[in-house]
Amino acid sequence: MIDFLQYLLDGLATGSVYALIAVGYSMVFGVLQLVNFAHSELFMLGAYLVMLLFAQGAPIWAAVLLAGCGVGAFAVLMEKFAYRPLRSSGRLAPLITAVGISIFLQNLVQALFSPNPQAYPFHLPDGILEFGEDILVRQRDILIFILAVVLTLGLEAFVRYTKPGKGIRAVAIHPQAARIVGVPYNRIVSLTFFIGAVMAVVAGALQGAATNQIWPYMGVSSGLKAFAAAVLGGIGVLPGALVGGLALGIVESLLVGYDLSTFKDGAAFLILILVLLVRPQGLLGKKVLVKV
Amino acid sequence: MNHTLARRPFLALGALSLAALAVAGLSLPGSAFAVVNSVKVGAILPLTGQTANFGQDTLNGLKLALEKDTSMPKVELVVEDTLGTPAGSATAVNKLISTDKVSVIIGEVASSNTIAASAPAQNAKIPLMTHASTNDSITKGKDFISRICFIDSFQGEVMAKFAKGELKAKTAVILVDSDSDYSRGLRDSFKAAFTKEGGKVVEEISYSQKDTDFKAQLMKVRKEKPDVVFLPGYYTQVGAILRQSAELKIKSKYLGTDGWSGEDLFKIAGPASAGHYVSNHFVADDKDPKVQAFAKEYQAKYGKVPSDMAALGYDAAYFIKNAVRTADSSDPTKIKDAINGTKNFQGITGTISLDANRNAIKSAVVTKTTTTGFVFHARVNP
Repeated sequence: MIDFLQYLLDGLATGSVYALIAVGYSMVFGVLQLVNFAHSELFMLGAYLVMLLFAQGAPIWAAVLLAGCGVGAFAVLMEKFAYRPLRSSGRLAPLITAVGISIFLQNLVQALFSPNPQAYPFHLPDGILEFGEDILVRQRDILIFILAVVLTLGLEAFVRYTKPGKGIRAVAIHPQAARIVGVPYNRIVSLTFFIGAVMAVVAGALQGAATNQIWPYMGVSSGLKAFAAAVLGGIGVLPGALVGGLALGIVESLLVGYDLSTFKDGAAFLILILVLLVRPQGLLGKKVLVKV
Repeated sequence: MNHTLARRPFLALGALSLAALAVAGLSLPGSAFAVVNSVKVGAILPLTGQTANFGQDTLNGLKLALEKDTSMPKVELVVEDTLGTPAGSATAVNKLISTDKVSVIIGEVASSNTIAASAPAQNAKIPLMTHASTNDSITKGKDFISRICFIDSFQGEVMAKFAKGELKAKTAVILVDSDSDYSRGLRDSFKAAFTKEGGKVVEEISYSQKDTDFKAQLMKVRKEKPDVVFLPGYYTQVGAILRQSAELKIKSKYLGTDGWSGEDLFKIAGPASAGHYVSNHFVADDKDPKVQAFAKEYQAKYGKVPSDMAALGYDAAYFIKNAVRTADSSDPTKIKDAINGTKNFQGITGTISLDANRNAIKSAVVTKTTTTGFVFHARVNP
């Protein structure tokens, strides 16, 4: 029982990073029905940019803020020049473009920095809290978890109560109707890309600071898992991204705990398949009836 | 990525046409006067990706050797990046064979990658000589595949005996990289030898090359409190594991293998990298004058201490030139026969003789880690 509790706690930190990345997948899908596979590269870019700014002497909050704006702006431009012209060409074309951008960014970062992993200049506190003999929690895991919850719930409040947030919901519910009633469609789409990118930057900086290493392909595996987490929680639903991310983190941790570590990386995709088969709207999603 | 080492373009052209002639069978192999003039050698190396240190160091060693040794035959080196993946390695080998038409190929480093590259090389009858892949199965049943490094059943045994003998360890936990043939092979050989010596492997835990947080695995290590943790993995994950292990105040000693020898390990692990024991092919502070001379030259050219991948790359260049001279031809099959028959080749990493299974019989060094690198601890003969 004690063990189980420990594994549960261990899963929360990894899950929090998945959740922060999943938010971006979820929002963009909600608005455009596009799986933006380049999103995982924004996570990687964010980690690098924060490293660069921090090394230049910026305090960490400013480095994250500036990097968030930078990568956010990049995401907006990416949408404008790579996805928008393809909006009327079906779903496959933008999807392939996304994979292309992803490969481009991975190689760009390899060329600019190096293919080798970089040690991260900024670290989170590495103390551990001990609860009795057997329960150990790293301080930074708590920090990451709180940050993830606050950011996702804050974002949910933004989407629910502010005017631009309502715009995002309107576009997600019915793009044509939203446009007719005067919601600035393109600006809303840009906004979702921007917000998703900012979240990914925070996740990238957290991952770098927690594990002391970043590398050009760091987005690939985390990104795919975060996508699975977004689907698990209910794609297009923000608290769903949080729930899905945390659930996936816990499942992975439990598999390692109970001697099934070999299956850890497969779990995300097994869950993805099961969710799509059994409950395609995800844990927190509502069933969408398509009227014929 | 395509690095051509010929100094001047017309030399490269000359070498190319000579190689083409040789391949076309127009040279006069076997004739006492016709020492082969040039040979086209391919190298498949992880220049990018998670094991990029290995590829970059190997290439440094290869280049140093080829610059230093200007004797005939002239080597035209064609380097292909494998991205450190099995698929990338197979692609690289196919390109070297079909487009560049090389006579012999050096590489890869990680065993899974060399295994992926070995089938196309064997099918095309182009010798593939790996300088650093240690998994036992690599050369099995493939007469065009050979290596100049020791194999894992030896390496695992070295560390098992070291754990039992010198460290007096009774219990061990093995952390296995489940994405790597190398790591799984070493797990088996260490476990067999350690058990035979009277030790007990209390737990085997896997991790993946995609992992960055190892807390779940390390919590199990912490609970078992083994005397040693055997960690046959690659430096990127090893660095992170060592760092996180120290955070969790795990006291067990770590035992590593040659996959540890990338400089990034020390960057990632920081102070946690010190005090562990590792089996290597070579260590730069070895008192052997040959090693010292090489280390000095390498340091002068690249400004850093040579890793064992650098030394193996250096040996590989001399070894291949030696084989081509013996074969006196750039014909791949003749070079293969010369490679497979090599005995008592004196390299920086030891005396290399290939056995009937085309594996090198060589000694290993056990090194101790500091916060910046490896220092000599003991030499173990087969």
